Amino acid sequence: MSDAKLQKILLQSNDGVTIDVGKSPPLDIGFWRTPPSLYRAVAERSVLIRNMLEDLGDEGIGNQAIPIPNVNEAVLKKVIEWCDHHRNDPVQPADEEADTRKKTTDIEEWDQKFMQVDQEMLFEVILAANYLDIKPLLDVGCKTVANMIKGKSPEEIRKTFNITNDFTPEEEEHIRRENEWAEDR
Amino acid sequence: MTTIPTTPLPVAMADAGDSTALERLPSELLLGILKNLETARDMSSLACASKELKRRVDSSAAWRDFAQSKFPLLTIPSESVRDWKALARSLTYQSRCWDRRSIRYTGMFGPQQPQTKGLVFQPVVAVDYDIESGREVVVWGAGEDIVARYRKRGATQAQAQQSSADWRQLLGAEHGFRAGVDDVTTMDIVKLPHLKAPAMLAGRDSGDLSLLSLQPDQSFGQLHANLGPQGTTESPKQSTIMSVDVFNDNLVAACTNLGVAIYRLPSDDNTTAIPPIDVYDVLSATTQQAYNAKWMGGDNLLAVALRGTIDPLRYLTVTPTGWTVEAAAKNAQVIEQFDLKQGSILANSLQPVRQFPGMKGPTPLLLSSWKDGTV
Repeated sequence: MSDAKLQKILLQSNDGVTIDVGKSPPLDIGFWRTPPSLYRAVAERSVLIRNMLEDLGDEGIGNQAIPIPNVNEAVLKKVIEWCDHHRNDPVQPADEEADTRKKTTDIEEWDQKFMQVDQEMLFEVILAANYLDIKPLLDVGCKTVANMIKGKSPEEIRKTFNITNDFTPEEEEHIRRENEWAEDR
Repeated sequence: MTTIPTTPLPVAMADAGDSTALERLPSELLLGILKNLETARDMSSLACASKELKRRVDSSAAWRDFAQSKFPLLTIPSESVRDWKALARSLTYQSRCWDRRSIRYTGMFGPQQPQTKGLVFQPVVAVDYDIESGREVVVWGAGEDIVARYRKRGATQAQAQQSSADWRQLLGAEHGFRAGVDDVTTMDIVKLPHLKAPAMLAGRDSGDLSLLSLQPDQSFGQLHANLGPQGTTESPKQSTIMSVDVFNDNLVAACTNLGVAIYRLPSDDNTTAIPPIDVYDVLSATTQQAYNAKWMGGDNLLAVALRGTIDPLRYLTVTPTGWTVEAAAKNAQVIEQFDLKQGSILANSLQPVRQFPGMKGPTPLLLSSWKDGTV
């Protein structure tokens, strides 16, 4: 087992903080040491990290931290929290294009709570999930934002997302008329 | 609680720019969000929020995803569509018309008179719309006659207003068909590579199944080929074509009183008589009758609706050596819960559905309606 050699997986956020995967959520329960395979399962929710681990091999990584240059500490911890909760989920087939088209907007309860964060964090998590290639997390993020849009008027959408209305009243009227067909649908 | 807090959340501006996190999102991620919107109204509301959002939502890709995922029963050739927004608009309009019409119809007809004899009326109509040329063909059976309407529809308003209809009629009497016994029972439109125009398949109550020209000129209604068991006089005569379903403009599954017959359509002009490749014979066993057969998105699996049997829905797998039949059971739990009597299937309700829109290949899902009210 090559697993035995790999003691831990360290990730380094773009603000220079090293995070021990499997440490940030409380996995060490007293005498019970988290087995190394668990670190792996958590980290490998990210296809980017999984490929990196495969390419470098355990020896190649050793005890070095993997730099994640696009993600800061707070967001990285949040993402690891998600990966940890979902570490036992079945890994999805890589090319399943249809997956993203799945219509259901149901979000499981744990994920809903997980996504109850301020908008900056929400979008940062989406960007991080995209960068780290964690498709299910990306999906949950997109659905969360979609749910925030559904059923709202343009004005309500602006309020929700702090968007400035840069249309002139005439332009707005014109667009409203142009999109009239979509009303009540 | 299944809702996400939708009250305005504080947005800390990371950059000093004017745009917000939503507007700055890379395109593929914005598309990921749009895919989860379900209505055209949500799409357009978002587009109305700001110039940047309008520019990005109105991009072709967004409306293409919308049209493809919200109307999964249509296969839209992605190469030939230029204005996806207009297409989405047209589809939305049409589906809304259908919704309204169904409400209207309930109001118009009173309680249904019990059918005393004959078949329950089934609409005998087939439609083909070629997106590239905007040409639309509707054919329907009117007794022993066949009527076709051709229309050219433009994508733009100006073109649409110019559209005019062209009509053709095939009088059954001129071809030796008698009213009643030779009534058209089923129709479909196929496009064969060796023919310039589409052709129509017409099945009749008498068992005649023919491939006819659908060219809007002198040759309209001309016989391309006859489909049916041939030459053998001892075999029972085929009668009453109940349904036809064509897979890939090539394989035809026809339901007749004899069972389900499979034909391969010709690829040249020289074939005028086409015998079935294979026949699944239901009649020999019992009094059961096959009413409808649909391809399940592949060339080897058929769903068949039957009457006069306790297993009214079956799956046929076509193998080189013959058939494998599997009865599809209704959900036992559902039957128990609603205390259902043995309901029969509504034969013309079969509709294979794809699990995910845009998926190619065989599909494992089938929609069917039953007379006891379950779907």
